[in-house]
Amino acid sequence: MKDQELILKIVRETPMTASESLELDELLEAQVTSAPLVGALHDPEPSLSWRSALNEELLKCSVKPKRRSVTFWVSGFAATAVAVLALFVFMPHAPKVDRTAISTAPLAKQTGPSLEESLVSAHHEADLETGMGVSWTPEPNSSRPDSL
Amino acid sequence: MNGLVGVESLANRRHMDAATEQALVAQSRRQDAEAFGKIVDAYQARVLGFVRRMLRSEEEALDVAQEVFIKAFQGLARFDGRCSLRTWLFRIAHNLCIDRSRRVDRGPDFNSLDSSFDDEEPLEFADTRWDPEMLVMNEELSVVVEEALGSMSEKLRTVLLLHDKEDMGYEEIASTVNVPVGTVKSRLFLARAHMQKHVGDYLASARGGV
Repeated sequence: MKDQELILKIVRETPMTASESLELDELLEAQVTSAPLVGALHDPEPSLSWRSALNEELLKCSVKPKRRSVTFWVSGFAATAVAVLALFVFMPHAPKVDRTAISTAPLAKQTGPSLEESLVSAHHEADLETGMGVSWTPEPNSSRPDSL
Repeated sequence: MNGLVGVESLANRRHMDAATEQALVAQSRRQDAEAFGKIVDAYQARVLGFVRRMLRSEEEALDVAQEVFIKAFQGLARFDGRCSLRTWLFRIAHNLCIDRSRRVDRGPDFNSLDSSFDDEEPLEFADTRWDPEMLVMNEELSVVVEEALGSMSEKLRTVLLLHDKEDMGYEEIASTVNVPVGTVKSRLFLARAHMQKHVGDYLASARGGV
């Protein structure tokens, strides 16, 4: 009778010492004669219907991702192209900017009324003076003594 | 008659060389169903044979065998080549069989490793009651071997099939089943002991009958 401890270890699948492992190797060598019994068993050849069903499934698996990827790339590219085109076509054009106006505007604010404003105010003052009779308007005939 | 013991059916062993296999794997990664079909040609009988012996129902085995190849085809991008294609295929097959067995709940047959030895006589390490080299693998004996396989726990059956049927090494089996090498050896030893006892009983009764 062989070592019962080894048998227990084999059955319980517990770790073995190096010597026990060697002993197990020897035991397996002694069993080699039974190996051909299993090796000679016949494997059933699958039927043609089984294989054609498998082929169909494999074809489904191989076709789906290709279609998806082609559709994905084509639609993605088309969408990007349309978006870029739309951006160029419908983008509101900014008005041309008068650089001089921009540059002088702050200066005018800083220095006082603009030229137009000063002209308008001068006109108003002149108009007021005329209305009040302050202003002297030379008569064309008063300066002639022969008119008396 | 299936032939002498140890003589393997060539139809069952359509090995392809490594370069061809690698090329087919590369093509199949690009979802080339035709290239993958050649891989299926090479492995379908062996995978189906393995799955058929792991599951009791033939219909279920046919389903699972198809699932193995579909999963392999879909997951080829994840196949990094660190193990052989054969190991990878049998790992998928093994995992699917375990899943299916759990779903069906096959009771003690699946979970109990040493159930085969609980109520039997003590193990005999070298069974000298029969000499396999002299045996002719007739239909009757192959039925006995199949019965012996079916009567052992799933864990033992897996290791025995992968080692003695598929000629996998200990390391390869350990990688397929995801257990340490020592465990593979222990299970192989128990599985062979179970097989020897079963076949030995059959031979003893056959001799007694004659």
